[in-house]
Amino acid sequence: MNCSVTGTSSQVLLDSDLSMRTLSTPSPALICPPNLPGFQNGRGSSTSSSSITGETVAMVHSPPPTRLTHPLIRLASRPQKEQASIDRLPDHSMVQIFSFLPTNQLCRCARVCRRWYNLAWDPRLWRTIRLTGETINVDRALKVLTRRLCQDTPNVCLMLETVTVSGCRRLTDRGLYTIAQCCPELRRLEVSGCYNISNEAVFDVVSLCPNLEHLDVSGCSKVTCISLTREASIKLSPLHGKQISIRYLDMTDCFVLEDEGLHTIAAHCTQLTHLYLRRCVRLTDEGLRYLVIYCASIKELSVSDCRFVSDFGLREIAKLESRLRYLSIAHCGRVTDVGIRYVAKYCSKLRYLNARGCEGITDHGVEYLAKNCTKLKSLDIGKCPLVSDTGLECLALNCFNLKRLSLKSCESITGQGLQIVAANCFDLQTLNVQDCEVSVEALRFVKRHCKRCVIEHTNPAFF
Amino acid sequence: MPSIKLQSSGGEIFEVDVEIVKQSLTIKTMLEDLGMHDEGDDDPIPLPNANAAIFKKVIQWRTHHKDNPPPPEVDEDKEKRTDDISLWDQEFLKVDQGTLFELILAANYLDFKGLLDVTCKSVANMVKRKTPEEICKTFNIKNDLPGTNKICLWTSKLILYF
Repeated sequence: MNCSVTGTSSQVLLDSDLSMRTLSTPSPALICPPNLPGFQNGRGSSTSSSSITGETVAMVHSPPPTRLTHPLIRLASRPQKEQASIDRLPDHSMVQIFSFLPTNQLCRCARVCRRWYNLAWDPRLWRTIRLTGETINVDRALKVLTRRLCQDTPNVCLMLETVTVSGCRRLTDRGLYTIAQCCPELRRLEVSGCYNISNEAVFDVVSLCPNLEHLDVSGCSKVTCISLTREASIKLSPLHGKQISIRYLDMTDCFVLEDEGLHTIAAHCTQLTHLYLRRCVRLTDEGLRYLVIYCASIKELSVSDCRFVSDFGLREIAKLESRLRYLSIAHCGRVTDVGIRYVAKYCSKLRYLNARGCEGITDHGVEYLAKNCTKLKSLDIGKCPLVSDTGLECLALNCFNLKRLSLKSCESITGQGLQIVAANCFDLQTLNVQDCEVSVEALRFVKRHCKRCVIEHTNPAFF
Repeated sequence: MPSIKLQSSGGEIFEVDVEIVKQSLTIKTMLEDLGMHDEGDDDPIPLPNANAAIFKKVIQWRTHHKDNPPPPEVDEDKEKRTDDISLWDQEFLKVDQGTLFELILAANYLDFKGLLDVTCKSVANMVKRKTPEEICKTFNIKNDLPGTNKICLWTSKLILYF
């Protein structure tokens, strides 16, 4: 390890890889002034020879030699314990090993010895902070971590790009402010399940972290909007358009979100490509209308369990046209074939559709869907009691790429429909026919024709 | 199948299948530098930083994995896993610490990314879920951090949270 003291009988512990030192962050000064009279050998738990000196640790450049004058400070080279074999590994190998460790373990490693302390704080290991645990005081943890990481670049952590604290329920706005204030390079923020978070903190993050692309605030039920703070709005020129560059936004379970909120979000986050609004039950077709006006690039959209969404909403969604690849309208009970036809007609490149529980869908809707969205890979029409073998046949004859199909609780499906699907869709990987009236023979047929298919069923006779 | 001769630091000569060592940038570079493309050339390539015992293990690993493609590029956003070491590799790496670290050094020197990956993962697994004291014990490391009353504020505070 580094040692700042030299003298005639000094024990100089040279770092084996001094050249590597420039890459790692110098640790904060463990500075005890060398002439501190009260500082004595052996105080504290460690009696190692190097704890006797109050030197600074781990500097980037070799420090100028200082003379210790305190009589009690010995510099004799005591016989070392046999060197740990892990010390043979060069710094970059150690950093590589550390790169597999989670945030909390890295902090523990920093307490092992001086060398590990320095290595644990290597900037390359701190692109991501990942914390878990319902009980940890995550606000304090973030404060302490970011302070340490801001060491060399005053008040900002330039290296931090991802902060994941999903599930850390004790996170409050304070914790988010900490991140917002010192992580200008933040790209991803995941605070799923942190229900104490409010709008203000989110606005702060979004305003101070212009590179933010990915924001997961699912389960943060107080969040009703994503917008810029007033200060940020004033600063940004009209030309800039007050844009927030988020592309991925997950607001699942933000059940207080309303159409106006969605309007504001859409107006600011025009570059959205992935938007998840599952169980945002207050949303209506109006919100979707605003959404599509501003966000033309949406590829993935989920409005499952938004029970006010109807065919009018789907008509709006259809305006996304060939950009839309993934759509979930599960349990949107007001949807009928009319809405499905709009989506099918305009969004011909749809790959994934989840329409589970859309009880108004009939074979006509499925037929239209099949003929227009031939690239469908995954379809869930579970709990659609009006869909029968006729619809399945259309599906089978048009959507050859089908990999995943769910027909759970589709009362009108029989083994015949299944067999037609199996005979045409060779790529089928998962098939869900739970609570369907299908015979064992039909299931065996599917197994024979679709070798890789995993079947979920409730038929005890089939195994 | 063409083979080449490699000489370890102790002078021992190993004849190995070219396919097995082809992935090593180090060896590849040496082959090119020494201009040894011709089949008839019989001089062994010296590898001064590899001793015979470790080299044998490396060759054993490479032979077993010769049909594996090189490991894919890391996706920065995904958490790095350590629980996906294959059973064969786990058995292979049931060695004493010294050998394990030598393997890391050798994999580094010979530039076998797959072996480096799996050995580093192994060591990471030895570190995971251990307190600092336990880590010191496992690796026989002397804790030379200043005593607790003058401890670095950052780390002592941090430990409270984890």
